[in-house]
Amino acid sequence: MNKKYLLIGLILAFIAYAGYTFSESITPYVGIEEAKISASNVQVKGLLDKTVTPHMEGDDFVFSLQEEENPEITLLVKYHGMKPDQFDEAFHIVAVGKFQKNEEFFKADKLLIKCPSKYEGQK
Amino acid sequence: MCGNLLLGLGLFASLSGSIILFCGADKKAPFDKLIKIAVLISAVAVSFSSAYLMYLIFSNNFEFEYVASYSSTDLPFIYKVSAFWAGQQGSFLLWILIHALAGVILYKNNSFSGKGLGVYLLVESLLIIMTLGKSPFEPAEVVGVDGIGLNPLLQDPWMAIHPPVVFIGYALLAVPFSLGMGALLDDLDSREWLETSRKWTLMAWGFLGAGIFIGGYWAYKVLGWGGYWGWDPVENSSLVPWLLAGIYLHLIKITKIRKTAIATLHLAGVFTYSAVIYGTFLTRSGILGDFSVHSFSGTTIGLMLAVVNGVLLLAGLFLLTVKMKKLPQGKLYDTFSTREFIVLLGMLTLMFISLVVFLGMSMPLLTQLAGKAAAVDTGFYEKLCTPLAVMLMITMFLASWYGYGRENVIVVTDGMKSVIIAVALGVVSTTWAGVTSPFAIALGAVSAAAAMATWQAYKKKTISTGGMIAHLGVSLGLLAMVLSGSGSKAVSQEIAQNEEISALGYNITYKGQEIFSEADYKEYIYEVNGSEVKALTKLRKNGEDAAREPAIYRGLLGDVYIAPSPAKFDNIIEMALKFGKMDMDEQFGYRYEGVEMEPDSENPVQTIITAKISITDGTDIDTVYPVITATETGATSKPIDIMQGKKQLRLTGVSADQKSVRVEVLPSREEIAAITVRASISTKPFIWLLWLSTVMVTAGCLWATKK
Repeated sequence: MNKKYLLIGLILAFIAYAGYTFSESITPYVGIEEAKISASNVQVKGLLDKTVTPHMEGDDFVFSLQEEENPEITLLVKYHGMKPDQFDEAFHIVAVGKFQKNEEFFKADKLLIKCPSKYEGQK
Repeated sequence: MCGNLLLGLGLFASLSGSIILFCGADKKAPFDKLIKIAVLISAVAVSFSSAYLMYLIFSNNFEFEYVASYSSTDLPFIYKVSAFWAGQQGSFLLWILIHALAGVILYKNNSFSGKGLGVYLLVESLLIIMTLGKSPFEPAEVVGVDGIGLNPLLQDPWMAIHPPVVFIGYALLAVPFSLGMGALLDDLDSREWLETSRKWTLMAWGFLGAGIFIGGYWAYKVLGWGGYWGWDPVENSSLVPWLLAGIYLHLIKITKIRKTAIATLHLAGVFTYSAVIYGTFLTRSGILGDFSVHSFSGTTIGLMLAVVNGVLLLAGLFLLTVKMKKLPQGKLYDTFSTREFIVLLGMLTLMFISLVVFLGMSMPLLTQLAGKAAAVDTGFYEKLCTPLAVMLMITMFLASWYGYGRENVIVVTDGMKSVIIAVALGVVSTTWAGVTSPFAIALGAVSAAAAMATWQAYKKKTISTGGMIAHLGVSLGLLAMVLSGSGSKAVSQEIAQNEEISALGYNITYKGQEIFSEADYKEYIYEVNGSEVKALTKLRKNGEDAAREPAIYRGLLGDVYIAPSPAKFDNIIEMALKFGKMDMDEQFGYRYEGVEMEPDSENPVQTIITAKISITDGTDIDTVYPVITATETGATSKPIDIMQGKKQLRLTGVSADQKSVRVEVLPSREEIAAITVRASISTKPFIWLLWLSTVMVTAGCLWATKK
């Protein structure tokens, strides 16, 4: 009987751990303005802001995102890594990460590039 | 039209067949003959429809939207074949083709009870309805002489075979589902259908697994996918049915020992096939558009898939509830010290893994329904799956220790010694590879122990040969994931041409770029410890990067993975040249002397625009003829050498009155080849063990079907 309780305890402990991990890793989908005030990890979607030339700063790839409906709103993104494939052809870029309030830029851990090409859907 | 008509015929045949079977009229003449005709006609109709699509692709019939979108006249043979399943519509057609053909074999072998075949044909009808909902035989809105062609990224032999292998897996998973539903409807005893189900599920599992592995291997050797596994929804949506089918396979074995497990088996069967449809729904409906790197965009097909998914799941669960009382009842195991208990515990763990992946990939959908869309990051999967994988390996290890039905410790002291050695090997190799996370080291150690215990069980003949190979594959695969993943180290570094650097314990020299303008690709050449490796970049028609592959140095201790960053030279000079006038850059003078436009004789929609431009450095004059190929939608042009290759020039536009042209002057090929390139360099310790283990899983699985 003891072993049974051990098993149930193990499962309950795992579920608690899973709940905690979930709350840690959930990243809501927000607009640029909301991203700037959010304290946790978020996903921001936008267009490439053509006024800033994407470039490398040390090991970071730096570019600017632009809100689709309102091009005035922009967000400077630093991605730790190299320029992703098909970045130049992207019509949408999704940056996953967190806004650094003191340094005024968005630190991205991951970039999703949405391309108008075949596998990613037509038109 | 012809293709859709054939599909309609297939639908009619499979639907009427299934109605006859559900009415239970299949034993009486003439209905028994009609069933045979229905099965055959649906297969023949779908085959002809597929052959027709293939014919359309090969005859370059761009009147069809699908052909125009995924094929082009210059596509090589193998990629024309793969254009068949490059898009969603074609891949659905391939799915029903496999489903229908497997149906003929199943019918010939008399594998189904009456209603089982009914369920199978009903599923076939639903699949055909979905294909008709978004058919590959739609006419194109604008008919061109050439198609858009297959995405260069997908022009890879591995990518050509990946979709069909996955779809064989998906299609064949309908067999255990139909067998199970048929058994419930016809009140069959498990002995009558379990063996058939086992064989077909093994086959489906083997193919689905192989498809996933091929996709992973391809993702590893191209850039932009983030390695062999990125927890992307598209990847996850094929992983969940694979995991669930794995549970189903183990439950078949348990049910053979103890009939009381039959209800759990049916439950697993319903959820496995639902997961296939659900995954397709999630990735094909477009609702994940903003969350996945490669989901297809949205169409009405999403709603249909959701309905089909709901119907199959609810009908399956309803049927199981109704028939529950007729199924054998009782305990699933006697004591904890039996193999059946440990295997069930392992399957519970596997179910938790499936649940984690399922919840993770569904989160955008679930949160969207709740109001505010959100996704989980990849850390969610890794943090939860690692402890679960440790648990899974512990159960695999313990299960090898015990026999079915009785308390029976099978491994004696010499076995114990080898297990201790395996654990030590696991700990030493992971630590050597640089793994620091205790969870990851623990996973490496228990995986090694599980592999050794599996081998011991095989020596004691308590596991079959196929089972042994597949289980060794799974445990060694997890060990290899720890070694190559958690043990991977990366640096990013700028390397000048012919410079030798020392990184991560390897001597790496960058030899420069080589550009093959005729073959439409360029290579970045590196030397790792003296062996030459090349990173390939496929180019678009206008010379831009289309798809990139890293340079991979393969060694016994692991791979070195070099990903050069696309070098953009900033010294491109754009000039507008006026007719008859001389324009200068810092080196040469350029004069535009005329332009000719003529339709392309081989391809009348294209216009070939040839400009005549003279270039001089003061003494020599070089007259060149750069070309733009223009269609209604756009234009492409290639750079050409000028002044004996000292620079390159590209024609980018001609004014409407032909009074001026725009050109780009680029550095020479040698200069481009010598540019310092930043590269990300990483190690993948023992990654070959991962590839080997995937082969073992597939081979073991297919081997086991022989019995």
